[in-house]
Amino acid sequence: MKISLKWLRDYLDIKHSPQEVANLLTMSGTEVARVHDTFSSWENILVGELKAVNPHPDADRLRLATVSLGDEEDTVVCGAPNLYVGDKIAFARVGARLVNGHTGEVFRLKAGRIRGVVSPGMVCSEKELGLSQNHEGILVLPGDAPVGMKLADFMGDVIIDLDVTPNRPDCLSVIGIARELSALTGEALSLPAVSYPETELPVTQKVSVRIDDPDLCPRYSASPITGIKVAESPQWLKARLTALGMRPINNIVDITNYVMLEYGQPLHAFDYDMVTDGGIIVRRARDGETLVSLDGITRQLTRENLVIADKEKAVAIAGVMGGESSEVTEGTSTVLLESANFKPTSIHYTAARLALPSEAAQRFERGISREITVPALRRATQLMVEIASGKAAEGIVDAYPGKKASEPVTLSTEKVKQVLGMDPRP
Amino acid sequence: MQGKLDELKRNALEALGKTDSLKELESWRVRYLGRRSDLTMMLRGLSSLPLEERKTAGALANSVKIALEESFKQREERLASETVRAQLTGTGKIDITLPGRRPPLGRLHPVTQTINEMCDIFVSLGFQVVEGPEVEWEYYNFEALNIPREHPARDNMSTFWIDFEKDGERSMLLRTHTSPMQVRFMEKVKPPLRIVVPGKVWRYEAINATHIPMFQQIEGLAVDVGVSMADLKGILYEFVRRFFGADRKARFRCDYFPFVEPGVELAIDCAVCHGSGCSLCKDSGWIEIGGAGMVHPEVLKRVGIDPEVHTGFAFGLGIERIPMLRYGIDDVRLFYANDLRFLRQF
Repeated sequence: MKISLKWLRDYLDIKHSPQEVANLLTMSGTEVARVHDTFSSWENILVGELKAVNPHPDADRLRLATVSLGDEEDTVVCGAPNLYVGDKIAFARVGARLVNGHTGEVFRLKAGRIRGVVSPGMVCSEKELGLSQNHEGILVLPGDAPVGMKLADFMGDVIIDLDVTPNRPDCLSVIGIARELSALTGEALSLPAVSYPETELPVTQKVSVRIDDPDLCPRYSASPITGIKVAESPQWLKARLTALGMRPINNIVDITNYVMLEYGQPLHAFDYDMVTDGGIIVRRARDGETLVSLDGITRQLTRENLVIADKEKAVAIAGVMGGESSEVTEGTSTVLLESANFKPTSIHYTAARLALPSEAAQRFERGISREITVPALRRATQLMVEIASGKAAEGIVDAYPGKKASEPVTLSTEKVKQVLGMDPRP
Repeated sequence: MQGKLDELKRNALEALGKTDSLKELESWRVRYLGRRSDLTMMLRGLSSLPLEERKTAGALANSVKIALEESFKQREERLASETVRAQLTGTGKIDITLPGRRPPLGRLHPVTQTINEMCDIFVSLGFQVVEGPEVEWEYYNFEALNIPREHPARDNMSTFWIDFEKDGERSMLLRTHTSPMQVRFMEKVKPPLRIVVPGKVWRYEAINATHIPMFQQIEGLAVDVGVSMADLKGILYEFVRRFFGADRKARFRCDYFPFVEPGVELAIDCAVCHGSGCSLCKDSGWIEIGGAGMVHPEVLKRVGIDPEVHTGFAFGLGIERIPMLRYGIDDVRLFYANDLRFLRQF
């Protein structure tokens, strides 16, 4: 699981250095595999603007890109297909430390001749900057990126790669790690304040939820959001998703992924108009029932698989993958947002049988607290209102057959002393 | 015909008597018995003779050939033994004060040597060495160790399953760790107990310089009244002290295994960079050598031990890593490549 230090700072004050934070987490049981500090590793890399793109005199697949860095202009050789005048890009000067796009090794950029033309720098791809494995083209920065600014100042961050053990599913989210760090450092944790105007009809007029198998689904909550305009996500959202290794798609999908990374609760967005009467039924599939999943493949289901359905047909493989028929498309104007809790072994079984190991399934398999279902739903609803021009209904639907009174946990200090061989009290 | 053969025989034997060395003898052989010798030509020429003569002529020629070959062999033996005698007595002396040729001595495999060293230390700390089966039941390898089916911990240990089913379920495998022996031993022996279990384990992994499908571990288990984590740390610190030297630092950090609670990982300081960071320790300054923890109450209950009365600790250390660190071996595959050039060095 990757964590962005910048994002973590939304929830608690971090006074320690990245190395110290990594050490605290490692010693506590969540081992840090890698600390990627882009501040220090992006020396000599600046934000530039493509002023001109011309063919290379001597090579068909190469071009000459003229980059402006404000008071300076450089022309470099570039083989990428996506060079467009006016785009803001990441420009590496000689001496910059980059990742070789083909071998993956770190190297220092030297001035060189490429097919006879001197190249005093380089326009970088995500892979060369160490951001991801994407080396299809150059990294294009948002239009408002200030020309000449150091890339580290513009989008520098410290990304920590964590090896989360199976007994700590709570660490599979940014807030989860923030909570852990709060306990380790003593800093106060501050969770997002979630509120949004509830302008539309009472939710019960739009959505109903019936859970036929409460053992496999102890909680299911939903929220309809109208007036949706599906579009590209704002830069800050795309950047956060990319930093944690997810690919931005559109504002609706991105919001569900964002909240999954933030809270650890996977969400699913349906096209409301494709779910008959807005009536959700959580049931086992019938033996032989089929469903075309989002990836276009027809899935053969059995009683052992849990599905989300309406009164006519199955619309999603619960907790694993949505169905094609109810997928959010450009034309979607009302989203039905799902935030639910499923039995871990059921999701593990279904994901394995259908060979669909998704980020969502992985989290469900390890067990998620039933208390996060509704906060995550409300958080995503808020983001849809703010980002996708959505309008929220009054209230949310929350079916909670698996509700248990919280039981006190008894801990014998004598037993602790016996097992540890020391007195843990300070 | 007869006359010619007689003459040929006479000349050949005369010339043979004059050969003085194996080299000259070889030249004689080529001349008189070789492909282009007179005798061979004659034998070939038999086909041009009329039929009745062919039989007698052939028999005669062959008897000459056999006689010459006999004489040749005798001469060869004579000359060979004379050469040796000359070597022994004449100018070709043999230095009898030279050391004899050493018979190749076998030695213990570096992994075996390491296991023996480790066992010695634990035996002196009161542990008994036992061994368990390499082909195991799924029950002992997973279920009894608090790893039920569908548990994500199973994904971390890619298993070699054996083609055997009981009630429609796969249930036989190559053990993925030496831990199953904890259960087997506790089923037969009740506390107090202290054992170490060295042995081979199998994991279905891609083979590279740090991973091979078969490797070795040593398991430790101690169960008694009043066994605590302090005892666990003490035993392992002592092991590190004795095995790696008094000035070697050891560190425990929180970790997770389904069959212990609390669980820890044991690491020693990196001998290469002494904590400053290098490629061996991946810049952390520490090298992990194994896992440990207090035996999970569920594991104890399953073998009929009451966790309220008895507690225990367990640990598992990887063997190959240790000689790799000690001798600077950078590729684990070398241990099992059966190359004498490697094995001879230990």
